[in-house]
Amino acid sequence: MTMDRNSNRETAAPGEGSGGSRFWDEAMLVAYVDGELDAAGSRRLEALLAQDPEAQAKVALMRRSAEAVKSAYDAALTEPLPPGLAALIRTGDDVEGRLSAREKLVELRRHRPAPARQARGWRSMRLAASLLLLGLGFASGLAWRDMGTQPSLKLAGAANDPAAQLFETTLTKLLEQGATGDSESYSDPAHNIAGRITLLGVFVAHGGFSCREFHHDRSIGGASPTAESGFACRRIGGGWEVMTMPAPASG
Amino acid sequence: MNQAMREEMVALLPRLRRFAYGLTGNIADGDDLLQSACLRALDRAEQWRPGTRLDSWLYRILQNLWIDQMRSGRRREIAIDEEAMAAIPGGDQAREMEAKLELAAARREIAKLPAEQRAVLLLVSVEGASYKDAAEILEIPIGTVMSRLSRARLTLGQALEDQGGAGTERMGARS
Repeated sequence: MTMDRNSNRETAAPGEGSGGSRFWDEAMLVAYVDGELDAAGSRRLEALLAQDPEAQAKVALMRRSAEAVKSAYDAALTEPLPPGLAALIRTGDDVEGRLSAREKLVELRRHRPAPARQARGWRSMRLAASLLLLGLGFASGLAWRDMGTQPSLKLAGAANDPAAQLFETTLTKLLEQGATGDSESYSDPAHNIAGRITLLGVFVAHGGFSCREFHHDRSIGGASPTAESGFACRRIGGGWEVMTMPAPASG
Repeated sequence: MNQAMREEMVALLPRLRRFAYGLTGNIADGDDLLQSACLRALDRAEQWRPGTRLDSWLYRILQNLWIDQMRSGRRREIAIDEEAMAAIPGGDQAREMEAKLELAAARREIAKLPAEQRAVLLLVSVEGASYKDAAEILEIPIGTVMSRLSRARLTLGQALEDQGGAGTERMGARS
């Protein structure tokens, strides 16, 4: 196979040649097949192709795969769209309409046909969605902690709880600066506190809430480490809404 | 987001959905991705610059969301649907059946491609994007589009070639 030839040439351009005695490279051939070469380049290549069986074979494979791919996903065009999606986009969302938009989101999720097998991660995503819907809509005072950027908005009690404070400071920093997959550790030897937060996926909930899932391990006072899953959603006015729960046993 | 933009977005849904289907490998996961992408787009509507193409912006949001999900481990492996298998018509519709099997084989092979090759392949060869459009959507140089696309197309073409008359063979393997 000559395919490896190009593996470190991510920026190959048409007409550059292959560096060897060949007049073509694969990037150029695919551009020819897709009609991306200009007329002159196309004609030139065609003339040369006539004498090069290897290039001809590659062109044939590229044509064949284009043909095979073209309508492979057309079921997505003909099957009915997820119910409610178009309506949701049409009516949209604003600060006043938040609750109704959330209700629509619930509707969307509920009406989706549930396939028998689903990736595990997505179930937790749905869990996140339902928690958000419940949490933000009806019980914002209950399980949710306010992590506004102003210190005065901090969770009552956190001021006296070094573990909670450390957690919040670290999480806020990570949320503001980290990318998915990033971790941040914290520790306070004086209180025998250590922990580590890892940012998982990004989740978009309705109503201006862009949320991030995270994982939190910590140990306090020499007790055995505990793991929690959490969600942090950016608030419209700034700051984060945070909710945590014990991590599922499966990790 | 004004009403004209909303209508345009609705009109683009089938195409976005097809792209999501291709990325994730099955319609259900694709629809999840589509919905998340739409919510994100509504959320960030003010970031879209009027005068630029709405479809490219939406494709980009969807693709980025998918990458995020892959990186976070939600999408390590992709689940391929066997929709074509379930929908095999009976009787004399052998030709149609063969075509469906061919499409299913193509989807299976596409799913095996590296993620970044798959995205380029879907945009250009399914969505009909020009190389320039694909480069803008994916925020990569046009030369990268070409090298990824050429590799994807050769790998896929070779795999399909190797399977030859996969239609009948696969039918026998179906249990």
